[in-house]
Amino acid sequence: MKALEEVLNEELGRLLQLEKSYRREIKKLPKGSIQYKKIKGYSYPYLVFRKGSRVVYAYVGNLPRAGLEKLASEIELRRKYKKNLREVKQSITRLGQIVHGRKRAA
Amino acid sequence: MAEKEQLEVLLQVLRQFYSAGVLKDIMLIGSWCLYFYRHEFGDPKTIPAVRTLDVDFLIPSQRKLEAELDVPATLRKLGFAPTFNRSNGLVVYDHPRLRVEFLIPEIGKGFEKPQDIKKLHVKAQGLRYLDFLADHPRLISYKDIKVIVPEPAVFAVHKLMISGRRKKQDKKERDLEAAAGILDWVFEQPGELKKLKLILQTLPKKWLENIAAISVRDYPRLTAEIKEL
Repeated sequence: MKALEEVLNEELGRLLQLEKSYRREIKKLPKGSIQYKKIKGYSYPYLVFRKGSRVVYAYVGNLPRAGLEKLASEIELRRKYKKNLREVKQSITRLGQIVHGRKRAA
Repeated sequence: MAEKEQLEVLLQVLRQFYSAGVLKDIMLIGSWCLYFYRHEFGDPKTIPAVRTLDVDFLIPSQRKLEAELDVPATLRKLGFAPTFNRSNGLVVYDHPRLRVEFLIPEIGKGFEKPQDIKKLHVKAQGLRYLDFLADHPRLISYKDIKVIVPEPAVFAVHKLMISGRRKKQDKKERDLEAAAGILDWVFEQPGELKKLKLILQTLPKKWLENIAAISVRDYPRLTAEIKEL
């Protein structure tokens, strides 16, 4: 029984650490999405994100192609990290209930 | 955690390493080898299922690494986040379903801190007895990749050796379960049993004494084989 508690606590510790890691990494990555506005027949890329209650359109067409691709991949990575963070938080909740439930029962 | 979900993530990692030309120079060790043994040998019932979050890659030799790959950036793209150990500087790569770590053989005096693996942009933890695994590779073809794992007999003997050093009871039990499962299969395969005997003959006397002492209770057939050497 003690071995099981150790395993559960170890995993809970890992998930809590992972939650911190994801939050740290997400802060470093750009918010929003790249959207293209068509003006006089030409497409112009904008980084669209929310700032408080406002939606901001920041022109990013002046970036070189490599820079725009990098921005797009960082936005995608932020989405992936946020999805994983949600999964981690759900696991923490479930595991926390098991671990703390066991402690209460003991 | 479902093995299938973990496997999906692991295969993404392996495919990236394979296409970058790195997988041929590193060895997958640890309990995920069990999955590839089961695939390779027709899913024998004795080999237990994988029950671990840890994916361990052994770098047998920095000099033999041919390709270069920014592993942290590659793993980031797959949704892994680096976790820093401030006490020793080691970085492991965490995902909700897996944890990836890099290891190197520790010989002689050993290392005070994790070693930089320049071609992979990672740090690797030194551990004892890993050279034993590194010296006995086995290539397994799995779908579109080829992965190097230790010879099953070597994997099992190594698990027995390290079980004696484990502080955590659950890890010790899993080591012994894996070792016993693999050895049950090895003893049924004449070719693999021959390999086991040859490998045992190459081991230092102290190692054999250590293995015999551990296996006398948990796997007496192996103790008997060692006595016959």
